[in-house]
Amino acid sequence: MFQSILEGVKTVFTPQALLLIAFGVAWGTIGGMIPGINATIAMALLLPFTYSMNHTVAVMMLAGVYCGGEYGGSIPAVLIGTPGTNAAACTVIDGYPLMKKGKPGLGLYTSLIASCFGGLFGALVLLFTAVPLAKVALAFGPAEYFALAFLGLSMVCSLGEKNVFKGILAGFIGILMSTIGFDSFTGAKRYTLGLRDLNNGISMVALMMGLYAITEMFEQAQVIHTGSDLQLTDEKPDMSFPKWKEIKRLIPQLFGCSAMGTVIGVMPGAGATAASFLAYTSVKQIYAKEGGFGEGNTRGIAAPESANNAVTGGAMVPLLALGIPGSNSTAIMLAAFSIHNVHCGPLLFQNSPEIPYGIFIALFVANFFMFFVGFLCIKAAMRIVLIPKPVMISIVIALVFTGTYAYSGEIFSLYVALACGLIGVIMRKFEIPSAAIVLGFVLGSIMEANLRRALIISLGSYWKAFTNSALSSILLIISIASIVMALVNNIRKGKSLI
Amino acid sequence: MFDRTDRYLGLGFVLLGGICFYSATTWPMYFASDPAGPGAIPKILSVGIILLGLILSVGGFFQKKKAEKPLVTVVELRVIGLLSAACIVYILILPLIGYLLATPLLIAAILVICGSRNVKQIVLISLIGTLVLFLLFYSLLRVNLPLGFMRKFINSFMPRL
Repeated sequence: MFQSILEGVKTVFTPQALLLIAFGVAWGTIGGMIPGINATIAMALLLPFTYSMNHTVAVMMLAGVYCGGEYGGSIPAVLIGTPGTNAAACTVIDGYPLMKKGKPGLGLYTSLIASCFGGLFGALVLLFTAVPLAKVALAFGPAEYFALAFLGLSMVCSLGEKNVFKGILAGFIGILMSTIGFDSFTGAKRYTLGLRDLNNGISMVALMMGLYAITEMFEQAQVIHTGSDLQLTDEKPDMSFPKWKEIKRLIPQLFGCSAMGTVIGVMPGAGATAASFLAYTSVKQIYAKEGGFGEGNTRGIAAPESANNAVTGGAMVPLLALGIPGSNSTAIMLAAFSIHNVHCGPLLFQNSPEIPYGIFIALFVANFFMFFVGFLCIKAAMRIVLIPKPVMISIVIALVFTGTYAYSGEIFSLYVALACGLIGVIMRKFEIPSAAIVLGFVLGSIMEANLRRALIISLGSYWKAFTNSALSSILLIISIASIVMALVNNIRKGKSLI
Repeated sequence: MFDRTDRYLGLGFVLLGGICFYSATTWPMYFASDPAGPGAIPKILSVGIILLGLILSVGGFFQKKKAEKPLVTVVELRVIGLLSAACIVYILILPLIGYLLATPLLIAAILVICGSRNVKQIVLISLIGTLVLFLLFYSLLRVNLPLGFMRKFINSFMPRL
């Protein structure tokens, strides 16, 4: 193995490879910062340029874009309450309140540190455990995927701050929204209201843009007229780097969330968005006594950011070891390999170890580059704080519509974003957590598809589908226990409030 | 835990759950090999929404304490209404007159709704904002933005990286 790692190091540490990785990270970070342009789109835009490159260097550059893209989304999430990528949606919950409190530096640098940590952790784990981890991915069948998604959904209980029932309700609505459109099993149209544009379902970008960005901008516009205490602070924003004491308290959770992100990344189809929400809700439950979540707790920024960047490492496992692209971004990498006639799979590690290990080392290097690129981007982006509120509101709404259109290429998605924005406004009035809708939407489709697959395997028996494997049974028991505990705690808290 | 307004919110969810459940019953079962069918999860969720809606409604009904501030004020409603109207008009005219004409109008409308009154500033921000977004998405990221009747003109004169 060490011989293979050395081969990888030799491949990466050439001027051309290092330059292209750095360029990839910068391109990805800028792409991630623009709402509607995620890591996948940023990678797809560079794909034509890889034709003339060496295949390993081409994929290294794309890996750099992947890392940068996952991180870049957190910058607008903290600064303007608009997630640049889906995976950064969770960062808005605690990042934007920090910005409102006049501490954008703390939010932005925490997200940068956490992202780099998560990325480095994922790359390091991969370097030594890629092949065994690939076997873990294969051990997950439909029942286990369903149980994992259910475990994630059980976390919605912790998102309903004051009223647990509102959190669960929002989660249910999110799952229901994920069922809109053609049923992938039978082709039946579900909840399309007779609109052809809804046949393919609701775009996740439109949902996120609406629920987070449009809702927040509408809220800020109301604040300008009512002058309530919700508005952004008028004091000079604190743009300093967090103190060591602040970083030190995050270290244990950074390890945990990065490990979670790496494992979720290994599983095809789970993705960075699911990882960041699962990490956030887990940290929120673990540090519940500390409080302050949703009000600018840096733990709420570090958790999703470390997890979604750790996913980049994990996602390479099924791609390189099994030839299965687990996400859209890794599918682009597979396309880059195909262009150069390189076949991913177990034999790649035996016949051409410099390719997989080169990519692992490149991920490692990319995360170092990301720190410096991120630092520069933060310095430039912080100027946004100084923009007057009416200007920011108008530009952000225009940016949101442009980004939403850029992603889907359909005018209809703009109506969806606006409708989701208005739903978000109503939800805020009734104190319903919008994060629960997003979590339901992200995990809902994974849950439904795998439940139905498990039922097909068990010939329609729900009991057999859930209990056939020890792993799925354990995950389901943990989920149910978590729901019951959250309900009991919330009812007790509710009684004490009365 | 509950607010008085939850009684109406809960009833709304009961209604929503009922409609979703009824819709799910109308989808046919296509294949015997798919035991759950397309309606299984939506039906379970609909029942869940109805039950949770009832809990909210009952909880809100027993809440005697009045809310400290109203759910929404007239000023807030007016701002939300005006912003929504501006956005709807923008989405309607976007494919007709194109991005380069529709977006400055949207930005200008939002600036006015948010209280800006300096005409020179409004015009400058609308034009510069639109141009920056256009160059970023159309020229740099090669996104085919809706250009309306200006498509031919822009396609021949606007460079794309």
